[in-house]
Amino acid sequence: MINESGLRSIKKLLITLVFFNFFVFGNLVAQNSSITVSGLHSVLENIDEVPGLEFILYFKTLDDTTDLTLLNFSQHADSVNFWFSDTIPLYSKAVELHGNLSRFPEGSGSIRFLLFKREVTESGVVEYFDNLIRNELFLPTDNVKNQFGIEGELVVLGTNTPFRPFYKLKVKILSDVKMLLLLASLSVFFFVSVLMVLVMFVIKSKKRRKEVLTLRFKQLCYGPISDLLFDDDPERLNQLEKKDLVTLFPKGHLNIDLFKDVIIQEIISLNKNMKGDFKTRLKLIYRKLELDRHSIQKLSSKRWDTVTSGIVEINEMDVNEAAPMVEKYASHENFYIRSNAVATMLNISNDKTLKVLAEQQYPLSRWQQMKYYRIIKFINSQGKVQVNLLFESENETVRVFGIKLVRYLGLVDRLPLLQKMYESATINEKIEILKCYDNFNHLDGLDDVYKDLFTKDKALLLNAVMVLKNLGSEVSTLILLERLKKTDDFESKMKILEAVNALNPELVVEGYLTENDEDIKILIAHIKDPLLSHV
Amino acid sequence: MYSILFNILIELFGILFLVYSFSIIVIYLVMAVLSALEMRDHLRKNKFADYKDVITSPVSPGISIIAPAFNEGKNIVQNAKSLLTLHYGKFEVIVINDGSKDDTFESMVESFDLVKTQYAYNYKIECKRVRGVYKSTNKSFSKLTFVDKENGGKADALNAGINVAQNEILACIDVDCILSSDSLTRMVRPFMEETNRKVIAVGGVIGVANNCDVKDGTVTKYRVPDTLLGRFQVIEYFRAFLMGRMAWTRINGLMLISGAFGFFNRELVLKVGGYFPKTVGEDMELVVRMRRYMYEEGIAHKVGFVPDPLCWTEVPETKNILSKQRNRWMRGTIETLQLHQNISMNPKQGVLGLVSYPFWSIFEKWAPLFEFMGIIYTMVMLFTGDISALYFIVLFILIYCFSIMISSFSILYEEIAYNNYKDKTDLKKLIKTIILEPFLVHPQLVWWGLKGHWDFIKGKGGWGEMIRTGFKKATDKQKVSSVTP
Repeated sequence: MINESGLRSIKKLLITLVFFNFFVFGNLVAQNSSITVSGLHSVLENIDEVPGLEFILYFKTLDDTTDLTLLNFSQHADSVNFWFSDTIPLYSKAVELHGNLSRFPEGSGSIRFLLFKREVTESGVVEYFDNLIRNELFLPTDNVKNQFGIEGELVVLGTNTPFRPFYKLKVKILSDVKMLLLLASLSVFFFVSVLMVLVMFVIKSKKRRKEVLTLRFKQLCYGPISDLLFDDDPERLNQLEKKDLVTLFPKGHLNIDLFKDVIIQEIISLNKNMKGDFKTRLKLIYRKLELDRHSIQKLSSKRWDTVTSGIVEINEMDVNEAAPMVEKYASHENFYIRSNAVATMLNISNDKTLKVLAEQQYPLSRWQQMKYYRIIKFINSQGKVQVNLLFESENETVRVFGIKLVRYLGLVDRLPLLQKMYESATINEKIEILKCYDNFNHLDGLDDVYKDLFTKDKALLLNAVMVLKNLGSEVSTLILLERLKKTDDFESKMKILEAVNALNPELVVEGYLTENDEDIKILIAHIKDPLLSHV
Repeated sequence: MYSILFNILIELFGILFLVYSFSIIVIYLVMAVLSALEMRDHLRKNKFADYKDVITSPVSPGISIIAPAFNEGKNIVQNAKSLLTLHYGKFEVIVINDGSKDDTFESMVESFDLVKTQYAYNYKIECKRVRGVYKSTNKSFSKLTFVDKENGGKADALNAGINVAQNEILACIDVDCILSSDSLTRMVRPFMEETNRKVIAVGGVIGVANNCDVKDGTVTKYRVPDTLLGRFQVIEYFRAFLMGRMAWTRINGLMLISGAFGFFNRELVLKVGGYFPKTVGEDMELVVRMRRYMYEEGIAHKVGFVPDPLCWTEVPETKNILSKQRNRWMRGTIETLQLHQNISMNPKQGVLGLVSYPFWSIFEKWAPLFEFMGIIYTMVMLFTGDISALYFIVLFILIYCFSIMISSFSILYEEIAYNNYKDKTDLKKLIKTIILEPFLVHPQLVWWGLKGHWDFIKGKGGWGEMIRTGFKKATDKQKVSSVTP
């Protein structure tokens, strides 16, 4: 068995081996000299031109009369005995010329090597060859072709064959793919970014243009609207027709949608801040300029915000005839369209039964409730709203909102109905009904409260306790004390003790209730602290 | 020249870096589009919102503002007063003195006529010992509750405040933040618009207040900071809030709400056991845990985000403080991801498990390591000579242009949506910062991020084991003792 330290040693060894494996310098074939000085001549004879390598023949004669001009040799300027040839790119040609020199026995010729016009030795040529072959700049293919199978030339053959190990080939392909990917991503990136920048600038310039135009249009419509609004003769506006009103505004501007939008916004904004006759006049201007048509037209837009702004305008300007069109949007999937459509319907339909609200399928958000409550409060001020339909809604949030309305609007006459509902109500409804009992001191509802005092739902319990705190009697105190014994929840204990303290402060004193319950001691101290009476 | 293994590794790393870079580009481009769409929708929705109603409506939820303070003696009184003047109907302000060593406690008691009460403190969420709960004898400050406790860190102080909170929504903020007067009405809107999906938390944008003029608790004149690090953070905050978080909101994948300005559903916070003080990334951890709980319970939910400029804070402009902040953020990210490793690629965790978590792991947590490895890789390639100059230059240009483009977009977003930095000189300074940032600031961020990783490995903070093993369920936090480290 190998113990733990042994295993650790093996692991270390393996890691060391792997680590060193990174740095094992393998021998690349091309690094070994594949051509020797002695074999240079035979290699050179069998290859084509080598870039940068040329040959020249020197001939030294003992006789001043020797003339090699026929062989295209030139005589040295300083020595008549020294002749040299032109540079020759092919070694075989140089050897052939050297053979021709044998006709001149009075001298001796030699082939010299020029590397980039500089004379080098044979070993210099060998080194140059190695570099060329290693960097794959030169592959003496003729050599392979001609000498294949010749004994002793296998090394030369191997050297001359462009060797590519399997993984290297893969790497090569992958490198290309990488570059391809990189270039593709670069192209996509530039295309998308240029597109996005363009879009952003277009949006920015459009927004800027719209802002400038809106400001200009606002200035243009201030005057005419003020003149019409504050005209001394209130009847004059009634007599005016659209063609008369159009002349008050710059020519052709009332055909521009943005201009219409600006006027509508100005009228709505003034309408919110004004009262009485001015409101009527503003609505009259809106209608006489046929801006109601513009608002109704917006309802057919594909953009949700345009539809919503159309609905809002219809709402603010009380375009009652648009009610059937707006009603279609009361159950729209878009939250903003739907909530504004319902608000508008509540406002312009003059339906005190709140039917449109009762028929809502989507849950009512608190934002919607806040909005609807403001409108319903206004409707209620002009004649009592009937919330009964809301209680019958299939939508729980609508029913809960209906109960809230009883409390908010002071609809005390609905309390018996709520009491009837209590038995079958959901937790959320019960909580709201309890709040109503509490709010209106509805003593008849105490039986319901007692029923739910032993509920497991904490929110319901706390609300029931709250009702008893305000409406309870001595009986309630006893029941509350009973409930106190059955709870371990700190917050519930606190609320129950607060209720008991409100009903009979003498009971909530240390020693009477505490026994050994530390929580109760702390809670009593809390309840008796005047600074915490509202916390 | 080198072994086969070496060559294969070089190739593999090359492909890895290429895929990583390509993914970053694609993801950020998608995010840019998503955030633009979300911003467009938000601005359109804003046209139809009347926030005045929210203040007085009986339907609006109550808010408990929780502001922990540690050694804030200089500004605590001014900041608390500023919080008490916010425009909202039903709210309370809970300031927690987290065992300050300076005169925070004395300043508060003296300035607000505070008296120790017999408050029955209930440790619903575990926290360090509360020495006392104070209320003012002056009725003008009836909305203020002051909690004095032993030092336990920000998360612990927040938990102490949550235990006292009475209202439905918790607004957890940094006490030194400047809040716009209408911040509560705007932040509460997503909660009020809730229909089918429960809104569990809402985050807001944090603006950089350095060098700005502040009057009555609101920034009146915007100016970019004078230092490069300050300006860099202006751009970084644009990128993070106006691009990043808006995009995540679009797909309901938001995992982080800034600890300086976040709103939470109190009931849910209590259910999951409040903040986890054993991590330095308590803000992110809480959001992840809340979301995880909702997924585990199968309740449709949403984390909202309000991009309106409502909250500002002073950002660090010195390397020393900024490096500590970034180190902490990195550790917080690692710790949160470690704690919730079970949700990774878990289809039951929806967008959170399949998109947000992997993104944060790969492109936030591992980003400094990848970048560092990339530098090493490039150096090795240069050393071995096995590098294509063209490849190198093209990649470099690509990444540099990409960085500039994303930053430019974020500035454009701000310009289109709010246009707070109206002065052209400020704009020029920001553009200059964008150009310099990749060379002068980003390498430092990578380094600080790496140090964050290193500190996490070393177990800085001393919370070790729990974070490494992680939570099996969202509610497991309650089983862990938060008080003793």
